[in-house]
Amino acid sequence: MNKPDTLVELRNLDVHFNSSGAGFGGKAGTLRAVSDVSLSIRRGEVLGLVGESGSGKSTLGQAILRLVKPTSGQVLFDGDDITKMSRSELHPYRRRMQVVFQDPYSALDPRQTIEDALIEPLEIHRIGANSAVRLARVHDLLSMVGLQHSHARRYPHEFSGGQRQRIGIARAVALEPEFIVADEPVSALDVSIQAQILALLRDLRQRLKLTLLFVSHDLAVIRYLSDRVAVMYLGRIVEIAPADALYLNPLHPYTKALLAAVPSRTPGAQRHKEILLGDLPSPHALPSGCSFRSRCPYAVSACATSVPPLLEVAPGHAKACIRDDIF
Amino acid sequence: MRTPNMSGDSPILDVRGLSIAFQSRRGEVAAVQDVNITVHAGETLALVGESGSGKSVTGLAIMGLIQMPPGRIVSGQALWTGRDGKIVDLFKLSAAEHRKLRGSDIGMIFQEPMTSLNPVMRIGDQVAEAIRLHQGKSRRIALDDAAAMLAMVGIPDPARRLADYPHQLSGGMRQRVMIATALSCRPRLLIADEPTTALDVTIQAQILDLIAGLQRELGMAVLFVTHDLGVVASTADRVAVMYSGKIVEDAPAKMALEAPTHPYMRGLLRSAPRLDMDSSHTLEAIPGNMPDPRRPPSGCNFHPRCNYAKSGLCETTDPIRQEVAPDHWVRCARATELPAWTA
Repeated sequence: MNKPDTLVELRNLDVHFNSSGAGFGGKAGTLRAVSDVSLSIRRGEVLGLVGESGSGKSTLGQAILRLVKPTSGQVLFDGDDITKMSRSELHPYRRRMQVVFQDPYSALDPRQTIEDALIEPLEIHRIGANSAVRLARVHDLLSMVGLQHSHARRYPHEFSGGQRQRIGIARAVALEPEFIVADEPVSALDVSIQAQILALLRDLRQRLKLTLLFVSHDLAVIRYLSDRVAVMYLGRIVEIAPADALYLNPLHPYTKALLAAVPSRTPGAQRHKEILLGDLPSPHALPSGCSFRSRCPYAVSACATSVPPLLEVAPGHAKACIRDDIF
Repeated sequence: MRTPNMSGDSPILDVRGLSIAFQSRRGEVAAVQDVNITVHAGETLALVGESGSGKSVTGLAIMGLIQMPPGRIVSGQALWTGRDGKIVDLFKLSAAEHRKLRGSDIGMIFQEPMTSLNPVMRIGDQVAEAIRLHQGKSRRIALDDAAAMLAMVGIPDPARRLADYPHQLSGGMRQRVMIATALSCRPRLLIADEPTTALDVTIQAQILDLIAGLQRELGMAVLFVTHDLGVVASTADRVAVMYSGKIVEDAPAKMALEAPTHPYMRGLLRSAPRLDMDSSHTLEAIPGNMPDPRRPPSGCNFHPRCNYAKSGLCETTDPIRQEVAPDHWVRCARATELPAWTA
């Protein structure tokens, strides 16, 4: 089943969270963060995962890395099912898959120098014969991400947001992983710095032959970096396609509305008046059938009966919508 | 002197030569320097910049919300034309006078609605409070007005929402409540500081539409503080770009976006990905970082990051503001010798 060029494969992945209802204003019940997601990520590609808050895109990324536990379904990494592996079984895989977070500051120990933060994973995975070799590796990593050797002895608070993200990236590539989940890595950065980090990610992707799951809410950033793009809405993939096909010829009403909502940079340009009405429904009480139907201008009664399957409608282009007659 | 806008009327807000500093352990740090902006009735001015540019501080100063000390208005005036036509300098108002103006003549909304909504007070009472305070109406009438305001900002079933607490609403709905509160007294100026930055793009589109609609309806002016060039293009009549405490370019929106002149504004436009850029495009990042305000560069603040910096000029001379085209102002010593802009 597993094609040789597939690095990550998800089969019917579900991630549900049970809430007790004990919290402030909380409701008891099951939150379906990720529902029945199947997709594969090819070796060397950047798969963009786009969605709004609450879409489940970050949870999906974390589930692939086993940072959250899938409820059911399978995660295959390089052909091996890692879904139910124990901590020790998972250890060798940890080295091969890494993560870059939105806020590297919260991922760095404020009392640890950058040198120590970068040496730690090398020690845990027993890389480098001795401390001199490891230190040399740290210096290589710093140059690789555009920082100076002199930065090694500094603490996280001494760096700007962009520099911290460079450190976060250095830490992620320290173990020479094959696969990185980058979760909103440029969202907290100023525009001028964002472009620097995007350039760095592109450069490292080429140099280190990385496979990337690039998670973001920013449609322009996603297109700039991705080969293929998957759109999530309320825990499900509603459309997946090569990047150009998705942006030039979106087939799901949600994708279309999402693209239309991005303000144009041309002054006076009239937005396509397809402003979505309403809010995301509560993930505790999803509509029956297609979960987008409560906001979809094209919904018909059949949309309420069953969840539309994600079906391929053109080579590599799949959508989860029963209406084939609208676009 | 500033040229009048096309309609020729006088501005409702005219900020002149505003400089703001903050006291720090190592002495006073300049946050805003020599800022000039004017806002006319019904017009949207976008104040654009990245973090640390001074754009938010400028907005807060106009609203009288800078804590002093450590802040200090070093110099400048903010001339406000009241409903009665009288001109007052906002920086000379007492705290009580400023408070009276806020919420009646000047409304404000922020990025994070939870910071301006009271979590333990019902939505209805919060919106009604502004109406009672500034218009002296009874609670009952103010609550009716509040429900009408909630309906106006597109909150479904407003009469029932009056009894809700903020945490019961989604982020987009909270933003609407904050807008309803800000607009409840029909302000003549709305200061909106990144009001859509924390929102999803589909909700952002709703809120931008809402503000534009209310602006048309109420004829209010909007000072839109933002870093998002897409938001600028879709809302602004006029743009002022701030870098490191100074306005480096200001012009009608179309000119600022289609004929940007200052190398920083050009860099911003070139470094932000657009929806039509696929993976074959290459963005031009602006090298380096924002300068440390405690140790600002000599000469032009932007020269260490500028591709066009000329030695012997840009690191020694702080450029003055010059008009490069009618009503198009740029603070760059090389403004007239730069190559033409290509997108």
